[in-house]
Amino acid sequence: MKGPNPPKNSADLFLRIAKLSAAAEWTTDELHDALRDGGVDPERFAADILDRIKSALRESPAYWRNMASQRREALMAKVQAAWSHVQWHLGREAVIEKIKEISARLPSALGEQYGVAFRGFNECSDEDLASMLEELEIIERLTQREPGD
Amino acid sequence: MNPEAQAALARITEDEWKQIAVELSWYALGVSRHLRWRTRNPVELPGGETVGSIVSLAIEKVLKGERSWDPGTHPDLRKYLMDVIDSSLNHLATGADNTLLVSLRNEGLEDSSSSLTPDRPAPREEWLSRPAASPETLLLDRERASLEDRALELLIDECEDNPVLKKMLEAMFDGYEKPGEISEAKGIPVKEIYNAAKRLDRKCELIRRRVQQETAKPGIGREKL
Repeated sequence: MKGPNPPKNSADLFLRIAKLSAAAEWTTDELHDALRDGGVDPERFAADILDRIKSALRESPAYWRNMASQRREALMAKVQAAWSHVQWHLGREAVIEKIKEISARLPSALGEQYGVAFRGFNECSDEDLASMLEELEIIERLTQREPGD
Repeated sequence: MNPEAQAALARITEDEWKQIAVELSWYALGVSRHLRWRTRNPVELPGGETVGSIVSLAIEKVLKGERSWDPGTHPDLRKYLMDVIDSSLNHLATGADNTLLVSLRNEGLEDSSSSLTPDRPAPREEWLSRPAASPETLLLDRERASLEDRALELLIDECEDNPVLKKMLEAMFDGYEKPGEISEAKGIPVKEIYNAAKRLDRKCELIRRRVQQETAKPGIGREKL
């Protein structure tokens, strides 16, 4: 095991302090204050660095693959959210009502498609109806475009 | 690029990048202020670089795969980037742009170069072939070391009334570097060591500025190049 390793000189000691402090957890405010003490404008520095990071990310050969992966993850999150949102406790009539409401809200082509597909409500079991509602809620969430989509 | 690294980098959000940028800027400033720069400024560096551009370059190198980060061996991207920053700053500090000094004595010699003897190199060639440790460099290194010593004296004074900071400094003088080692040697909880390190580091920054102001006063520690 290595024993203590005294610093070679004052500069070495200062460097060790800097490294030890870098390993600590700093809040954003603490870092901003410290940088200002050092004569640096933290907001400008961060903005400049972020610009360069964004441009390096765009130039990266993996950019589109990364974007696709991020979008896939975002879509999965939406699907998961829709799953957890389905209201299994609703009664049969309420479920049918919700199916109709969502079908009406869907873009016309989709609305027509699902209106036709789900028209025989009375012949469906409660389970089938719940599953239709679930599918429609997922489709509705996926068709809602968000900024940046 | 390693697919694992690619996936990890893709998961970093804009806000996280901002925080990384600020953390690394502070780290780079800490390293930069203990290197010798001909600009005499730890933020504005030779070759038009700044502490911020060095941080950007380090991140760009990793994003472009010029530095192959492997999350398996270096799970903490920040620490890995700190190593890249260390290496970039050291490279810049020892590079020609920082070590080549401009001498007022040589200005205007270009016109009289025809009068030089053939076996003597022209001033510019002599300049370029000069060994790294020139008398000027040695002088600057000595001056730099004495400023660091002065800063350390001030730091010791500043910590005199604070038992935790004083113990931290003692442990570091004794050669303990890691929080666990310092904690064991001085009986300070590790969490407190991190907080103390932050306080010490900020004191260093303030002291460095004080020393800089002292040396900026006419007649103290300034030499004409």
